[in-house]
Amino acid sequence: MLIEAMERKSAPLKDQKDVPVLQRRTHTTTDGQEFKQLIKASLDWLQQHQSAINSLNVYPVPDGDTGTNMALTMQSAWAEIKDLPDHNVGRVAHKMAYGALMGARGNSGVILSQIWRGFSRSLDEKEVYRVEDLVAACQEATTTAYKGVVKPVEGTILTVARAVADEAARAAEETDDLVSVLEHMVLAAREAVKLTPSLLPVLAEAGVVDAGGQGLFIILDGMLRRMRGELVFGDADLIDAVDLFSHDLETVEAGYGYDVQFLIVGPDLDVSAIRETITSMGECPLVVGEPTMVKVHVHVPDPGVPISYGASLGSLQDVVVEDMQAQYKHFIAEQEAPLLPAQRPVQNIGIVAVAMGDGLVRVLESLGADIVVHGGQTMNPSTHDLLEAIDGLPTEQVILLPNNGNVILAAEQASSLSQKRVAVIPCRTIPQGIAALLAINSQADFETNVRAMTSAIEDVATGEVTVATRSVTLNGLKILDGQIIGLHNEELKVTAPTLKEATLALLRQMDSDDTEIITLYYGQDVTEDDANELAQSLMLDWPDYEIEVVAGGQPHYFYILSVE
Amino acid sequence: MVSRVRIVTDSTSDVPTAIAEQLHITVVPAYVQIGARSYREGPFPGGLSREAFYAQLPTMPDVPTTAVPPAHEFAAAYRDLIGQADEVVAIVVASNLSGMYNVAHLGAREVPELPVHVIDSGQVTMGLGWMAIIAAEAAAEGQSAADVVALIEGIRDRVYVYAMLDTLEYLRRSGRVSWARTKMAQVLRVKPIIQVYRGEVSNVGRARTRRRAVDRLIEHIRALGTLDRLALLHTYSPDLDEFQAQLSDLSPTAHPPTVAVTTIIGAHVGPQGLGVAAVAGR
Repeated sequence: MLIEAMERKSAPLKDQKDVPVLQRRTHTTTDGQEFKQLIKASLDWLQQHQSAINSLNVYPVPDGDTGTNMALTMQSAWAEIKDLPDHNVGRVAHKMAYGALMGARGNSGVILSQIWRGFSRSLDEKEVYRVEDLVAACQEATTTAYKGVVKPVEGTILTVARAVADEAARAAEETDDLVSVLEHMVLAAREAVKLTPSLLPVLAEAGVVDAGGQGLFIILDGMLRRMRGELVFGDADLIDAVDLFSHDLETVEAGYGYDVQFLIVGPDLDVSAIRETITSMGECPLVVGEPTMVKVHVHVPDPGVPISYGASLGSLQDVVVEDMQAQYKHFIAEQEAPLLPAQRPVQNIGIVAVAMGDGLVRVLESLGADIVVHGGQTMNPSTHDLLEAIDGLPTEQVILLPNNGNVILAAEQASSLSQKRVAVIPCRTIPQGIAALLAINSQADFETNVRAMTSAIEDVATGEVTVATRSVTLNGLKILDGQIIGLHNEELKVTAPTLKEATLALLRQMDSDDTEIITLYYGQDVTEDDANELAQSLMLDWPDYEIEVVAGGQPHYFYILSVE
Repeated sequence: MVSRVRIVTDSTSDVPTAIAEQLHITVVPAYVQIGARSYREGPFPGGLSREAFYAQLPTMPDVPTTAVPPAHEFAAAYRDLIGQADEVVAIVVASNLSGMYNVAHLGAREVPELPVHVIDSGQVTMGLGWMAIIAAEAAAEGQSAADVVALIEGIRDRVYVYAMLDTLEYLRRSGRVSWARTKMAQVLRVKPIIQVYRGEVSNVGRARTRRRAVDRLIEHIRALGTLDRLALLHTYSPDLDEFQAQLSDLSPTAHPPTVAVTTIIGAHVGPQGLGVAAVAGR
């Protein structure tokens, strides 16, 4: 659907009647200021398609929103160059790549930042780029992106990047017109995105194209539109909103209210009016969308205010409310009460973990995490967030626990950017992160600990119980939007009408001969009584196992289960 | 020449009675206080059996506390050796965990006619026990008190106790170990692995499941390399036989001594613990 819509919008140049004559002239060079405009256009275009890209998640779980992650990455890239007067395209590209690197979040964001890194490195200090420079930059971008991933997977943004670079080289043999070459690149990106399901079976099964690849296509398409002189975004209000949002990364700590996000779905929404009202309510507002669907994000002292307002306009979806105050107080409390030496079993190694939910943060801290960076499902911390945590520790050696598959690359990137000695333990879930923390040996050195922690990940099986965010048939299971689903080690395994049935069914799949302990980390949407009641039925089913119930406080996931 | 050096230790050494008798090791009992009652620890008159102690430990209304014996009990032990020994080497439990070292000294002052060398083992249970045994073996070979003292001080840095505790709770309650008093492991139940080395009790690992905790414990033992001595320690664990089997290739002897740990230590570590006391090879 999305691709067809794109096809209509990116109809070939000759079909457009109102194209200025100027555009027909050969466009042979791009300088730093023009490149800035291209980046801005790609950001705007990406933000418009953000939720559509988010919906391309393979699993219908509230996890790792690719569109959001890529847009935030580009946002950070743009913020770095928007006030730059420089005309040297090489220097602008370098700055932009640095911004992308620091703002990179999620795996796609990290790969995107690597693409820009290679791109800018190839441009070096060039005043302008020509077709041959663009070709070389795209090649370098692709090579760098592939190198940035330990095990490159085809059918992803990487494949799309390579197709784009190859097509750029082919097109450059026939013309020195940048617009024409970029047109070829965009077409190649679109074709490559279409082919991703044939390269990655999981995409085919889920009936989606690769979200990261689609994001790259949108970025290039935004650039092309700008080069053709089309307005990607004529809406001055929205550009303001985007600019406000650019402060989000810096000011998020100063908000200390509630972080509120929701979608308003309605027949005839007035986006500008909504933006105006939301902006008046709090800090860091972001209102984007179209008359039928508007995404709202704002930091406010009382979450009820924007939510009531939103509900008065249409039906609300994906409402997320996070208490930043509590997180801030917690952070301050930690700062005020420095850890006693005895509480730091490993004196010369600092530990940074990523988690969402008060309870999970407490568990990780009790086991020796020095800093817990807020994030995880649906909200991946940026490279910059992680780097700040690493560099904020007094130790020269740091072990990083991403605790989420979509945070691993940002963690690795932060690791390579820090001057400190940093190791990333590839833990993809909270129980894996906890298993890794348990493996710390205060007597052992850094390498030994990293080895022990990495191998400890295998000690535990992870279960996650959540709600499907869309209807899909996957792993032979027919899943309806809103249904309870269970994942075992990130694989969708069960679906059931009730939370309890889904959890029990999932645990039956996870059970093995070695099982001794089942731990239930219940989320913010589950009451303690419900969790205890579930634990009671587990004790009946498995009288020999130890069952532990822990308040995790995580959003979206009713239960995170650990079986070991 | 007949050995004129005798070894004295305290009951926290867990030296098996048969070995103590054979090597003429004198064992001074410590005390354990449960509620209003005070017991001499170990197989002594008025004593409490270890099996009974560990069985009752989880349900005891009061936390059992431990106490060193009065100095005169050490004095009495030294005095009994007058005539049999020219000199005494007293090797006692780690001085930073107990007042035993002090009491052993005070007792020696009451017996000026017999020279007593008091050594701080820096160890507990069979970690201390092995040092007493090795000292008694050297004394039996006719080594002088000075040689025995030098020998024991020389091996002190090679003696390790490792244990897996079923829960951190008892150690935390005991207040003896600073790191165990902290918030650590309060949120999730974990089984800590502890090391006693040169008087320091440290946490060297943790696990959530018993099987993994035992595996980690064995990794630590294996990391010591070749062992001169090995003893198995437990506080009545159901998986003791399995543990013995797992350690068979590490033991320098076919049947390593297996002891139920002194209640003095057991009160701090709780039931269902497993461990070893080892003297690493040179």
